[in-house]
Amino acid sequence: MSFPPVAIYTTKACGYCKATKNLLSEHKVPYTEIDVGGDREKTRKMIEISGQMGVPVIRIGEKIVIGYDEEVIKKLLDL
Amino acid sequence: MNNSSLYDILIVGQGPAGITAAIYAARKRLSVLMIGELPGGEVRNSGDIENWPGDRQTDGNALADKLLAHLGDHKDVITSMFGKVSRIEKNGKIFTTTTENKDAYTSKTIIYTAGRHPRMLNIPGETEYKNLGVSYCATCDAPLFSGMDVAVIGGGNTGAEAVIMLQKIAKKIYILQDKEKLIAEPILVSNFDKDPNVQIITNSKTLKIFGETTVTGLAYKNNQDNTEHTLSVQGVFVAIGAIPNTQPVKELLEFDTMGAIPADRYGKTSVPGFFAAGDVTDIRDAQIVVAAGQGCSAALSAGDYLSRKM
Repeated sequence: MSFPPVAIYTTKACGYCKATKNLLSEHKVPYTEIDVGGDREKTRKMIEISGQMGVPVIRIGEKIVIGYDEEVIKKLLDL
Repeated sequence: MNNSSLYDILIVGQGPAGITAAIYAARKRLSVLMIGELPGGEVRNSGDIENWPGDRQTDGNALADKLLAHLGDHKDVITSMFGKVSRIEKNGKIFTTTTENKDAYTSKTIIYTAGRHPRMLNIPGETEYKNLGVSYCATCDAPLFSGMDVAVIGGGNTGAEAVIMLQKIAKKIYILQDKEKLIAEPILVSNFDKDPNVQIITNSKTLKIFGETTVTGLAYKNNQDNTEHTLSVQGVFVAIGAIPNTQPVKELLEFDTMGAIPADRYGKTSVPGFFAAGDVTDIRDAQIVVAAGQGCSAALSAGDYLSRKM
């Protein structure tokens, strides 16, 4: 099964971020993780694409999901 | 969508209380449906954990994943799903749980472990700058404020733990308490009360948060002399307590004066067949191990109820 490109902006200890990664791994969805902790450029990019600073920010193709929303994530990935 | 299965137990919440309840119920071969919004629960955002018996040092995510793995051993009787419960009703002996999607599920009992959500300051700027400098989760967001000046509003244990997390990250930390001294446990306060980069401001009431695109500061009032002051900060962590998540059951149950669900030592509430466990109850000690213990008791009580009543 092919998926759109997925990227997650995270911080190390964030629980919602880990839950998101677990969900993607469970369904064998490849993703790129971008740890924004301590990196102002990556944080700036995250704010640019999502309009806010909360993590996780999940980019699925061209769609942006803010926070752990299993229903929306599954819908966008057709899971 | 209406699910036609009548479950023995429907558990709301997927944290330590709910997972423990589910495991105990599963071992009695009771059918369980778990509905929650975060697998593993809010314990995920606990950061470092040093008081979960058997684990000298772990963290919220590691513990949550272990609990879920154990839960996974019982997939034959436990169905776990994502959902936002909006309402629970009782008709005769049957409970109907409805989610925000209007899906409905029926069960003979409920174990309610929906936890709490952070209390808001309810001051100007707080909503406007939520996730634009205002945060309710230091575990999640502290790393975003590396090298910046930040404020923690709330001098209890949660606030103190936020300061400890931020000590390794932020440049200057202010912790504001509306009383004469921080109410956090002294052992936590001892981590930072001599740190020159941490300033403790007592007798302070936060008035507003302001900024441009993101937070640039806050204003507070000194309760004793009524003088107003501002702090130049890029982050504000709100840690002034939490409110039990009881909206779905507000017409079903009785609550205490703090809005929590009174549950006896067996997890029983004011409604027969409705059990509660964890931080959503009038629990004195909001600790992970206590929540798990309550989950166990609630499941055993539900099992006993089912064998006697149904």
